[in-house]
Amino acid sequence: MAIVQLTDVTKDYPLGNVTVRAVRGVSLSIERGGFISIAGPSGSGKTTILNLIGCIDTPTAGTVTVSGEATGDLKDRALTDLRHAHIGFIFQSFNLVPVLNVYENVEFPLLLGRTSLAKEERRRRVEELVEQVGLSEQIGQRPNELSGGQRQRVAIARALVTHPAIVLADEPTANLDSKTGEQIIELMKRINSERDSTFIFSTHDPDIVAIADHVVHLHDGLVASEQRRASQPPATDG
Amino acid sequence: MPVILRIALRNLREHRAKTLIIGIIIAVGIAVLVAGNSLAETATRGLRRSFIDNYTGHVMIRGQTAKDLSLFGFGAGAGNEEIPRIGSYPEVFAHVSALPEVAAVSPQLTTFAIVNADEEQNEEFFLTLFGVDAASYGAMFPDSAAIVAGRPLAPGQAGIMLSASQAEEMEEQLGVELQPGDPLLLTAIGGSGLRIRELTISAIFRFQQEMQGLNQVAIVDAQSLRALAGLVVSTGQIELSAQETEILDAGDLEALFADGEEMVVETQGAVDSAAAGATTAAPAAVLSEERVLAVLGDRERAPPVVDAGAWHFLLLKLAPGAGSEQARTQRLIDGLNGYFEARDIAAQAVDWRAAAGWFSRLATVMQMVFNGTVVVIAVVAVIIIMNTLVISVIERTSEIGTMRALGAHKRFVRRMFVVETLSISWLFGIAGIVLGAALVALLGWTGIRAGNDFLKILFGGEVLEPALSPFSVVLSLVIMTAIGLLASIYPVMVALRVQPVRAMQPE
Repeated sequence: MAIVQLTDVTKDYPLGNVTVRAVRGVSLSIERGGFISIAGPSGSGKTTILNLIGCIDTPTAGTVTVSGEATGDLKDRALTDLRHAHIGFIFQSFNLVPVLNVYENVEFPLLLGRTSLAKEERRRRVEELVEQVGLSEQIGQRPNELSGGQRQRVAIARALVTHPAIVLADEPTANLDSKTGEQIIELMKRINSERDSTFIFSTHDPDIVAIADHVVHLHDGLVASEQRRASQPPATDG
Repeated sequence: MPVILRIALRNLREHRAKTLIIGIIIAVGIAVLVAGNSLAETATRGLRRSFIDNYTGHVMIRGQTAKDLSLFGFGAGAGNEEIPRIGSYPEVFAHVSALPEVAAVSPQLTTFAIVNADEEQNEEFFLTLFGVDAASYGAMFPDSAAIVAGRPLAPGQAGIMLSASQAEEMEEQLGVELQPGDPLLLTAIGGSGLRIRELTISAIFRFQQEMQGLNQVAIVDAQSLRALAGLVVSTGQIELSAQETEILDAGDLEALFADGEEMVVETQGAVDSAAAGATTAAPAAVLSEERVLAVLGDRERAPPVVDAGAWHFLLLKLAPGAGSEQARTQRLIDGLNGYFEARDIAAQAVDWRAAAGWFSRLATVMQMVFNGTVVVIAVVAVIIIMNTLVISVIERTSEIGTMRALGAHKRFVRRMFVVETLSISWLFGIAGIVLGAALVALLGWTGIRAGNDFLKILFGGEVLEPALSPFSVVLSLVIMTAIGLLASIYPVMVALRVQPVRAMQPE
């Protein structure tokens, strides 16, 4: 069953007096539990597709369905709830809250929901994830006391703490050196195999593309090609 | 600690310089508010006590008027209007005297007069005259004045009591030495007609609170004041003696009001006749200077026309009782006004503020000036906080976008900034309260000496020992909250416009 479905999606952005069409009728189907790479050169529409899947933007035309919900008709509040319940984000610039320490940054999404977890359950989840990303010793440190790789590990833990069905990562290795980038990719791949989360990347890092189950190549806002590896079910895109 | 408060406090600590600038403005503003209001409130309390105890009592009953009428006469805008008498005075007096909540009652009259020096110097000295019933006035305000020389007016005694500063000033201006027993020629001003009367100085006193304005007050017996103020009964009630009727019948009225030159000649003749021991007086002699002065100087000739029941004011002092004095005073005022209205009596009950006139308004005006200053500081604080927060929102656009992307609702973002502004307002506002309270305590310990008459009025005495005003603390808390909320409105609007997609955009 597809966890994300894009059907003939178009996205326009106003730029001064002109309108720029970033995505031009993309149809895409992403299956649960996959490790998906959305690849392509700069300006091809990778981030826009990620924004639409992440419900932080809505399509100009077409339909985006996430976890069975069509996002086009949802109001801000419902979109926020959908994001919180189903999606985790890993950003290129890590985007940690600077005044919160590692523990608090990872815990943060758990404090935003309509129903909050018990404090003990929050602690258990946070400490488990912090240990999983190898930052137990840095748990009380602020982001400015961490290296780039450590910050991205915090961001990964934060993205996973709500047990989301989908984890979106926008160029997760772009601001890291190659060795750290490899470690981060390995970490995400490991978590992907241990958990039932679907990882979707926008990237032009060939290492990520190489290990992805499903690669979507974009060019000028269109799907140029799509590859599915052996473990993935057949493509259903239009 | 909730995450919102944690973020707010840590952000304030992260941006210490900005926080300090905003905080100092708030703390200073609140300290000024607390200290200023405490000073003003203490001064008002002192002024209130001073006036109630010494001059106005708790409640003043006056004649019916829509204008601003105090013990010191009408306020600005009343022109030359006569002070109205209390209607149905005997009934009013009997009613208030029987009230259990009233401890003391004293009627009073007010008019204005000038004391002339000799005509060549053309010097004048202005007096506000309080006409009192000596017995009840002395009983009601036993400590209001200390006698420096002479004896206070006894019940039924005619005369005038001058304040010491008034006497000194008169001596300086008029070039005469004033002693108890000396005559003083007063010319009434205001109202209708010109009335001159000579009164004997009974005593020279010093008010307990020496203030500009109050020093112009002289105390005279009620009958003399009525004569000066022209408080007369209608002529239909005057019973003329046979001699007076004869004079009027025999006189040639046209000759009486003949042209000035003729009258001067005849008057001069009459004076000469008087000097020669003449016993008969021609009609013109009735108007001789000597005779006019003799009549005016002899109060035994005046009473037939004076309305002995006319009073402008009736001052009341509350009996001790349970509950706040102000609340009991207000209840008494309401009860009296209801009584007057029900019986259609031309009288009004007012509080000490109305009775004290501009003296009480001065303290209120000063308090308003203080509060105006604080409002200006508050507006400046709001603008500076707002500006700083807007910059902070712009700097934190990516952070806000990230929070929204992670599942933070708009209300979370709103609360985050409101809590941040409220935190800064409260933290530094409380510091301001402590600072203001410390300043008040210090001034209360040292005391502030009134260096001039203006401050004496304002302080209600020579020295002001301010005490912390609980009202100013409550007001500060309200203002601090208002500053926090107002200052956050625009930054919150800017923050709420940040879309979650901004998390994906490079900073």
